[in-house]
Amino acid sequence: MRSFRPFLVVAVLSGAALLTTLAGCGEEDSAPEPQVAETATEATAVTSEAGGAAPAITLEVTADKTHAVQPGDEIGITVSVEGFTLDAAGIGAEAVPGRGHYHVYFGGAEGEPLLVSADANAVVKVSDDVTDGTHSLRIQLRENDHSPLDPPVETKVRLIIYRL
Amino acid sequence: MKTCTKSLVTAALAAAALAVPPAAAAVESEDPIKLTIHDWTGQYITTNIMGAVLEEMGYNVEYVQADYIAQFAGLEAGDLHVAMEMWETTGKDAMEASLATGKTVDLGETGMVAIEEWWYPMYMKEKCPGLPDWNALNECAEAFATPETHPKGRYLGGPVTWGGYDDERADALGLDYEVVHAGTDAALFAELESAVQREAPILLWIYTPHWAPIKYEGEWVDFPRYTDECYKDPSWGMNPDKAYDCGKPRGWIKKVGWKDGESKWPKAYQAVRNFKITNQEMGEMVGQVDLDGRSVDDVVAAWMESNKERWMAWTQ
Repeated sequence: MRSFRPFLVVAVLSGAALLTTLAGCGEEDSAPEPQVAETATEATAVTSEAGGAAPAITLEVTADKTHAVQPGDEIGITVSVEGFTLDAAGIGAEAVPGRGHYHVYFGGAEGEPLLVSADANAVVKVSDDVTDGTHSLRIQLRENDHSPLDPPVETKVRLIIYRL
Repeated sequence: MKTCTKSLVTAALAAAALAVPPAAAAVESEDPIKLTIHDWTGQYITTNIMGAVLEEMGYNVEYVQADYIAQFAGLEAGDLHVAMEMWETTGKDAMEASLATGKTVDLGETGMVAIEEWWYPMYMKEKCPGLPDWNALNECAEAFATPETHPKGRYLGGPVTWGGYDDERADALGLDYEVVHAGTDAALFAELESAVQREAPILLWIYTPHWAPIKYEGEWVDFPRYTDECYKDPSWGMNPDKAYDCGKPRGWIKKVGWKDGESKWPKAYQAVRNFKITNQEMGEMVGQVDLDGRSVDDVVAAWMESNKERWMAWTQ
């Protein structure tokens, strides 16, 4: 009975961002423009190998929450890092402390990443077979050689997705 | 039908009103426009936002408690005037029947898009890996059972007044579940919160826009997709003898009104037609009320203060 119906991404918030947003709402103008994405951040920091600033990553997602998104359509993401340098030229090269890129995953599984990139702004595609429900879009910093940082540095946002 | 008039203008909003001239100096009729109030937080919010805007325009507004489906009799008779949330998921057939009388008018979409269906938190998928396919429900009935329903599973539906045909759905699809209806919106989500904290079995009616699917990871059951024929023609679908052997419709949340009101309060009706809000705004505001304990009036006043340009445009 499963068919490729239009998807709807109706809300984008991490649990942390929800609490932050709800706690802060009302006191100042936090009202989003119609069909403009909410952002979500849930940064995890660790001490950098170089002993400098701790690497951290922040993920923001832009999604149209009130209009249908066709299967395979793209969700814009904005990635910012601290204590770490995103280096597109180094992807696949030998690991260099403090430099690398990121992998984007859907849900908790590692598997094949949806995206491997070092761009601050990128797009990911929602796969056709995602189930109707609340899912995590997870992003993880990686060394040039694709190995995860030790300990891992990642963040995630939640997406509510369903077919119309 | 219980009538309650609410004061919507908080001190902040009153101050704002002093600073912002009314969008319209004169109204066509001073008779109160009766907006219907139901029993879920989001509907309180949309209705109170619309009421606040109409009051800013100079109209008198009255809030009338009304049953979600049964309100159509009042709307057709002109005893009630505007309903701000008619969900395609549960009210499509009732709204279509009412529009067919010629006594009510479709006032357009709110901008929110809805799903409300059987839902489970993700940890239940470990106990029932065949989900979200609805065919897995019977294999997992005991996993969703409670002492009161064992060996049958338990499905917690919304209040009976919400409609939705879940009793009929369970029967038509041969689901080995007892359908239990929550008494209120608050009771529904209190059960969810309690179950998730204990990772206890739960299968229940979850809708969006709402904070629940933002706060908790989970999935909606994948029933056979809704078609109009499924509800109207018993021969349609896997059960040739019964209708409702499919999921609920998904889609718009519309406004509907007493037709003659459009000529009585034309500018007000146009403002109602212009009302638009997003799923995300609504999910956040419902969370502010349900989770943070803020009053509806307070949340509405904050929204009005932060969105003057938007609602002023509705009044033009």
